[in-house]
Amino acid sequence: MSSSALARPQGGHNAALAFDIEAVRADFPILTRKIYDKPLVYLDSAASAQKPVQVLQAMDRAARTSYSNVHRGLHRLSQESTDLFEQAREAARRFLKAGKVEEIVFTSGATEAINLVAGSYGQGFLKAGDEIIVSTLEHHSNIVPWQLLRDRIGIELKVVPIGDDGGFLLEDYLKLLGPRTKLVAVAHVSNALGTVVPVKAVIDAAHAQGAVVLLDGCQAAPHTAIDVQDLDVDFYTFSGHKIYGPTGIGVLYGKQELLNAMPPYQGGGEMIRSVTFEKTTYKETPHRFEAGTPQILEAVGLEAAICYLESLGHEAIAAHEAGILAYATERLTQVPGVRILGTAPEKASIVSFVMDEVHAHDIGTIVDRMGVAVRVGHHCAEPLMHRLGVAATARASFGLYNTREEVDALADALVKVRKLFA
Amino acid sequence: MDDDLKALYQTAILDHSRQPRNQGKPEGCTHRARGYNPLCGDQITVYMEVDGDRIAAAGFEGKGCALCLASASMMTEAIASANKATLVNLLDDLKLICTQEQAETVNAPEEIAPLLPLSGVRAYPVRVKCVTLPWQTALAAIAGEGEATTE
Repeated sequence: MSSSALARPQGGHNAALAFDIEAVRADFPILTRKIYDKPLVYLDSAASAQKPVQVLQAMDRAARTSYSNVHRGLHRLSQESTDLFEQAREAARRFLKAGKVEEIVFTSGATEAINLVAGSYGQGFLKAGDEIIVSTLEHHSNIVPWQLLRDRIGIELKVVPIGDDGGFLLEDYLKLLGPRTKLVAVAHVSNALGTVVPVKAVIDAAHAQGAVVLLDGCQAAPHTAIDVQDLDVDFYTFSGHKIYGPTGIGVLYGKQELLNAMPPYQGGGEMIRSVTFEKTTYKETPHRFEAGTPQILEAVGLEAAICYLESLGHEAIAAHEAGILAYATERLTQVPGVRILGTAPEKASIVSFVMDEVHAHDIGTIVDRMGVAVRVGHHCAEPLMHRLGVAATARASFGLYNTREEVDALADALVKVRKLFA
Repeated sequence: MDDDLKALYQTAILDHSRQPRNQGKPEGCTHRARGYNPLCGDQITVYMEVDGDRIAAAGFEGKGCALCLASASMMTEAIASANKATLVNLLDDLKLICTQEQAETVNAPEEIAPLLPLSGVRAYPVRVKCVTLPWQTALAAIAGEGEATTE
């Protein structure tokens, strides 16, 4: 993080809430790109965020100077790589405010983390007739692993409905909870609509029934501070590439006693204590769940991304994005024919919308030619699209580097879409 | 507005997508199939009345982007009264004009002419499936497969 990007706290509390947006943008090399001769307006960070030079350099430096396999060799490079890798685990612990570094398991991403919990905790501790609760807001990655588990062991899946504004219906959730509920798996923030789920209440009610809770934090991690101890959540997961880090790495947080009780998810090197053809014993968490050579350089990049977010400060990021979200909501509402889907009171900086008589795919193609990158389609949340009565939406998602001028570029592009189809 | 965009969303495309021809199921419908494009959610059903080798009538219904709807609408006009072989040839030709700059070796130069507005998709490779979906669905219907997908 270049110190120039930071407005140092001076005097009042609000001063700490600002950062120099131009200096931040200068940290992201790709933002200088032209798309069809227009400046890139990248509004697809919810799909994958761009990477600051600090992340790119950290990975490059590690590859050039310290790279080797981890936890294996006696030689110097292996020790250095192991130190970097375990240092990244400590950064992830800090990021989630977990109590112990052993509670941080590296995975390929949130998808693998959820599959790990379904395959290990689910298959290990759940039985036919037990119930798992998800919500209508879920990404497919927090639906399909539970369906696979259902097909394997016969659990039942219950779905929390949402309101017309895309809000999580807490009262309905409480009614679904019962003695058969063994696990609740919900998004912290909806990827398609930006809805913030009242996770504290969700967790407290689940625990009162003796159920464990997994939060899919993919869309929360880039926007808000997370404290797994304060939440008292049992499992929490996020992906590196959504917090301005590399692809191929994600984090599963799990309470230590749960992780140590769970059977291994994949077998291989690194996760064993001893192997004979008759009997193999396994390491404790986190290594029990990290079979094979892990994502070493990606872990280094993830730590750099976490440090980058820390240097800006979660409060400053949240304040910046809240301003952009409010402005985008106002500007898009003014575009004739545009209807925003997802208007819950508490939202992250994601705006999903449709336009009368223009399919989302046509919107996406046209605004792309004006340099504006948005996601169009079902956002891997088909059940949510069915609930909203649409086949697809266009989604603008804003990150820490986006500006009001970029919101204007989107709104102007949408006016042109409207004109073309008028 | 950039030239590629104008070429893609030209008048004929917008006209067909706003007011699709032959919507719905023809009375003597003998074959049908559903087509789905998971990428963008285009979902259409193509109906045909097939008499021996001849397509007596074609219709469709569904939801989709402008390109998919325009292509479906144009298709129902192009294949009505054609034979099955023409449908196959036209899909081949359509793929050619939608992917190649100089598509001189088309099978059915006369029949393809009304479909030329669809070739604007050439500058947008990810959208070619939107254009071909109705045609693949029609082929699936004739083959008695019931379903077609772009994947």
